[in-house]
Amino acid sequence: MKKWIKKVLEYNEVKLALIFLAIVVLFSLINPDVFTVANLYALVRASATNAIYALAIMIVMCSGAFDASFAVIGSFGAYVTMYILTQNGLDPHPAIVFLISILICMALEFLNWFMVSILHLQAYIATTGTASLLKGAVLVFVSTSYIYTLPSQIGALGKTYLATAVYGSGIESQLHVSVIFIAVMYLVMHILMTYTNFGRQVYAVGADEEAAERAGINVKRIRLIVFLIAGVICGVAGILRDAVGRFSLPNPAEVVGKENISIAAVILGTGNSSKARGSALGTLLGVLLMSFISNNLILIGIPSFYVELATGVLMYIGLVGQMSNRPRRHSAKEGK
Amino acid sequence: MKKVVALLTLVLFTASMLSACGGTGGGGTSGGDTYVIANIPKCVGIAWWDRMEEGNKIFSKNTGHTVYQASGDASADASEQLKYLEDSIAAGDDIITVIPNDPDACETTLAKAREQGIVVISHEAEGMKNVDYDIEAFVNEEYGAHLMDLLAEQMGEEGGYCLMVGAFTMTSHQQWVEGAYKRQQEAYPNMYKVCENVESAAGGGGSDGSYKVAKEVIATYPEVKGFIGCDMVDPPGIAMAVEEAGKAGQIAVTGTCLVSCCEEYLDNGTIKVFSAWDPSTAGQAMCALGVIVKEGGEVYDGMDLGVPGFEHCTLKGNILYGQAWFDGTAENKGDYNF
Repeated sequence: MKKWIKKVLEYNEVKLALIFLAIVVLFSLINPDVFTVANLYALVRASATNAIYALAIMIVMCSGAFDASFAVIGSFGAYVTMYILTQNGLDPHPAIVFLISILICMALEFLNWFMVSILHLQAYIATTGTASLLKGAVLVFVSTSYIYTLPSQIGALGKTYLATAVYGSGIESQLHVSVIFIAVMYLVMHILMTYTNFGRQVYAVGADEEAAERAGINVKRIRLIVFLIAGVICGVAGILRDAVGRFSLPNPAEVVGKENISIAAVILGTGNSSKARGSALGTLLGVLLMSFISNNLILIGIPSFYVELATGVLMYIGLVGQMSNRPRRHSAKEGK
Repeated sequence: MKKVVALLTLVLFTASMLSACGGTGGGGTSGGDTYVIANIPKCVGIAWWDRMEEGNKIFSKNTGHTVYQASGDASADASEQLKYLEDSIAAGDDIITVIPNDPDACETTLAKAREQGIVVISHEAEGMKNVDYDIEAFVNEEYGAHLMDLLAEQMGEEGGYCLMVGAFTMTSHQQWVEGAYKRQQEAYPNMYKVCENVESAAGGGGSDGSYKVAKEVIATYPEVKGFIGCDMVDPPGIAMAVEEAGKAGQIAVTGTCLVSCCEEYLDNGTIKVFSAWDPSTAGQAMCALGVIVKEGGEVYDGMDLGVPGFEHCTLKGNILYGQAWFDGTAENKGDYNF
């Protein structure tokens, strides 16, 4: 029995889930409204965009590369799509809207891949370049104006709710349709990364590029697929942000410049061990933990001034809590 | 050969100088009271300054003075704007109305303009030295008090409310909420703040930040009956949170906004009224004041510039304040379509 517990605790995801649970319990003791279905719905809605963007950077980080431009690419793809559609008075099926955005984002991630894998540029620098290039290009060549009237079918998607729950006070909270997007995308990524040959190859490339190459893995090809998948995810995330927020703008402030939230979520979900690796489940827990903290501080009576401070402190607690993973993982490996 | 070229250059240069002087002099005598006014905003090509250009045109049509607008494009910076100021000085314009990107960076150039007898009027630049006058649309505290009046009216002058700023670091927003709070304490004793002021930046900024923060405030303080959002992006974000909470019509939402940002909520009634100021009237007021100064007229506390919102101006030092806010509603949204 004890062995079983020890083994389960070795999984970083379990640890993270426990930390998450502890914080939820703590917050709920202060304000019972925290632990309600209504608040769960609010959490889903608040973390939707970050959750999906985090998947994009997760797969890139798993492959040992980096992408500083994922949020800008997603925002760019969505804004350009919305701009083209509204300028021409088009209102296609949402699937087509997503498709256009996905194609734009895939093309841009292809550019990133070209710089990283073919030109062998340092990934962080190269993709930071992509990010600032796009940030400026959208303003100069596309438009600076906010698009407040989205194509009606995308607008309708943003107002689609699956269920309604009520806080003790009678205030309503809606379960946003984006929960389906999150669930499907995480499930697909989890299967892809855990149960397919491709997933294992991604981890292999991420762990040691040269060793992977010698083992017969086509590193360039794997990275290409990784960046293209990241492009697909960014394309979806961008449109979803616009639908949920009900308007489109170049470089939205809650996404562009806040990339570190998604990146931190991936790292939280990865654990502190140098040999630890990213996973879909860990990333999801990381996103939920971070959104939960920053979205419930007012509920437990912490003034707005302290939100950033408290978020930082709680993140440290999360990271330190995971530190104990390191020796344990190590000894487990040695034991084998 | 070189000498010939040098001589020719000198002759040409002198000639052009003379003709330039002649031009200005001629303009002064033959034109009588009509002046050339250069309006140099932060940039051109965006809706806000296009709206100011409309005001310039109105002024030009009403008075016969020539007003032109020139500046860098939307991506331009402070140095680009300086070039247009230099151009205007070189062209010998009579009056410059400027909205500086970086007030400090403009001081030297504007000092040069004033040495040449050009009247300089600035806007959105309290504390500039080398200008004749600075015009502000309103005193920030008074604007805040006005927002509170709008909110109180919708709340029936009683109940809990919440004040949201874009970020705690924004000076103007802080002055607005100060003014609003003071007004509430003086005039509306049955109203109270449900919580300390909140900032939409805490929710990640933008309308999404406003939404998240407002949603939390509503969940935490269900008795809240009204919001004032200071940032242009706040009212739409708050309105979305109110709608999702099933409280549309029961929680009043107002603040600074523009028709283009909140039309959806104006139409469905979640936002009944918002406030803002109109760059068109600010542009007219700058021109009007410029002409008065140029003609040696008196500038005094309580003066009337003959422009809506600037009929009873407050003078403090070299700053002239109007009361130039307007209230946008579903009915008058066509008049403020920017």
